[in-house]
Amino acid sequence: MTMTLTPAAKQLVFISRRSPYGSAHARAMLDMVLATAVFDQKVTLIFMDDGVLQLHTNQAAAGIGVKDLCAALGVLPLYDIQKVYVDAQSLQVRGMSQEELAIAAEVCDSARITGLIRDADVVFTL
Amino acid sequence: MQSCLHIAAPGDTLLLIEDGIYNVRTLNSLAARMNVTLEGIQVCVLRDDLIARGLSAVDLADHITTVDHAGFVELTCQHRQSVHWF
Amino acid sequence: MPEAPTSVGAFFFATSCHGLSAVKFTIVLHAAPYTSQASHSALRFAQAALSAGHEIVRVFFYYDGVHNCNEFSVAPQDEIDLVKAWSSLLQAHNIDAVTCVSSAMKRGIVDEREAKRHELRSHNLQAPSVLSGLGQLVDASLASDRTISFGA
Repeated sequence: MTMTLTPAAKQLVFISRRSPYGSAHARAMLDMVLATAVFDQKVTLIFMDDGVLQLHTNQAAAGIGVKDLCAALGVLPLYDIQKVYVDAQSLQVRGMSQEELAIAAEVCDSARITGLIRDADVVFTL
Repeated sequence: MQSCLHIAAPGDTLLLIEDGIYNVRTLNSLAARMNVTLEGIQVCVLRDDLIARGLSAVDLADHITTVDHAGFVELTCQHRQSVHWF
Repeated sequence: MPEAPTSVGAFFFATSCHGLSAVKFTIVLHAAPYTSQASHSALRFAQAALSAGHEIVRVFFYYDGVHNCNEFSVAPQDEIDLVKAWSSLLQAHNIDAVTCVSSAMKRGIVDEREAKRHELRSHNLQAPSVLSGLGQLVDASLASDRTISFGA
């Protein structure tokens, strides 16, 4: 199969909305995000709804036979994915503290997320 | 659906498909409970999904329109961002 | 008064612009056939896009969407054969189709090469899709005007 030439950099926005471990959605979304790394595009990752649960501290998934998602999220800076946002309301309704997130992320309101989506060329949600 | 309404903005179009159709009667009250407004947001439903579920265009509030799949494609062409919410 | 649960299934479209003509689409399908409506919804969208004269750059089957490429799927005679319907559409319009290799392998969808490599009895990847990586999804999105996903 032929690879098409990469056009000018696009703004790709990924919205991760699912909790880790109970389903593979969160891992599948992360894999998509990491796949963009070699393409030199502008990537934004947003955690919303149950997706914020991926940022819970003290995850230890060995006992359920899967890889730690939180540890995997830790590689985002190595893939040059710096723009990571977390929806404040999603944290609040789940009783999560803004101060206790497992990775560095900007906590923001829905208006900010609305704006991020409107700057996008492509939006992926999972 | 709630979080979708939080990040929708005036000028957007919301298209309900598949089981999302079931929100069509309760969307306004849901928005009211969430303290968000649907003002300026065009709400559409996918016609075949509506009919499959025993509803029809006459069941819809005046401001809600139905589209077919050609209309669904057209919505995608007319907007820069298409965001699926499942 | 108890609240009615909210069912899901929506798209919202933001930032209206002049409607493009001859749009290039990438379609991503995350859901298996039959388990939910998503595969059929995506198929109908693809058909409508082609009927309107648009181009589909690539269909990317990801996550449970890889099950749409299982040649061993046999549909009852009174139901749409979604696997064959996708195959027919892709072949009729010469649309590039990629099945995510990591999602597929885990779910038992293998091509001839992987079947030999893992010493499996048979292979079942439905033509014309090929196994490849997520890079093909990104690549297609970058080459398209619109990327639309179905299923969760």
